[in-house]
Amino acid sequence: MAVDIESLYRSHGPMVLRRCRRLLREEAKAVDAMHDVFVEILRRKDTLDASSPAGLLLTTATHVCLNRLRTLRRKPEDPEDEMLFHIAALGGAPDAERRSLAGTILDRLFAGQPESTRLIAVLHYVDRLTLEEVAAEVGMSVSGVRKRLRTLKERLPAVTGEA
Amino acid sequence: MASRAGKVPDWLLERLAAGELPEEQALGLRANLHAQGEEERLAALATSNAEILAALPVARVVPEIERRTAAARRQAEIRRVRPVFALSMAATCAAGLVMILAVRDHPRAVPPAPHEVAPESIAIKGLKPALRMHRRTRAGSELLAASARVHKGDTLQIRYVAAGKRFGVIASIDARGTVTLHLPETPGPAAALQRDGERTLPHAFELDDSPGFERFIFVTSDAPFATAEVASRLKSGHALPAALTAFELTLNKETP
Repeated sequence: MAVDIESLYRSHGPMVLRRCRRLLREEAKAVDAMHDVFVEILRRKDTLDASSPAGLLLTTATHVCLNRLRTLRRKPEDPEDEMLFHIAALGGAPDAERRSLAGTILDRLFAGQPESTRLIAVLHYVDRLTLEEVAAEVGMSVSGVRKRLRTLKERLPAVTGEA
Repeated sequence: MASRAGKVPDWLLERLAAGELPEEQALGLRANLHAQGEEERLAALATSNAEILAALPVARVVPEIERRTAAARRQAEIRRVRPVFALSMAATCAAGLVMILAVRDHPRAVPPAPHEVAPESIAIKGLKPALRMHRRTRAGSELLAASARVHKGDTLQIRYVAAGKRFGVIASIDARGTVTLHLPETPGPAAALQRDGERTLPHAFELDDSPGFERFIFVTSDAPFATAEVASRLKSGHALPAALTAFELTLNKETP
């Protein structure tokens, strides 16, 4: 994927910042995370699929923010925020976060492997996408998404909804 | 895809605005927005775009992205190279040469004397520039004291207090004499510091397998200076120019 970072930022930067604001809820941290989203894109440009840049950037932003939330020391502001903290804490193997900002999960994403369960959880429980919409976003079957979410129920005590 | 009943999520709204959704889904979402009287949400995105680009223009953001990208690549290169370097050092050690080379090339690559591990090496009146080292833990992070024991694989986050100083360099040297720049992450002019409060560096880092210790130095000044002055100080042990203030902190590495 050839990346003209100036035009990519101009066309999608505000969208990325809005996503980071929504997940992190602190302007300075959101701006910082937005920069790192584009860093991840530049670092992995040779392996990216350019067909849906908005989707790619939103996904990357979600992963970057989830990793930030894991180390953020603030109290959740509301149930949705609390859910995000729970999801961010999932898959807590420290090694996943060590190697880069988004770690192994992004590696999987950019390698075209199955989408991370954390993203699926955020899309369904926080963004309120339906199972069908989540499945379309992450390129899985509805039953596959449902199965992933079912495995989370024990680890997300505040989970409600249709999973 | 079945049409949705509730409010259109922001995620899908962004994808709709970007024109990336399948036609059928896009039509369904537009109908949903119309039915709920929320068509202005799409227009609001355009307004938000303009406001954000005005506040964070390309000329300001893109250079920072490029700087971080270069730094990330450099850090990745360091992580890749260090294990190889360790192997070569082991081979050298087997040949009985390691001590000679270490002393000749890196005279400061020895554990600092006890008086050197004190948090501040140069005292000034009032608030002083300082480093705070935090180690990631399962529960979050912990603040490390000077001479704290650390291990290979520990993830450390550096925070600094500029105490009003305008320019700074944060670097470290391990027992092998390898100097790593943390701020800025590439050689050149010293970084412009955030002069108030405690600031966190954008990237945490993982300790490698070098034994002995990791010594950090935070050099500050009110005038611009170069990272090379700090690297030279770390390697040679020579005193810094009088205009520069240094804070030093050493962590002791436990090797299995």
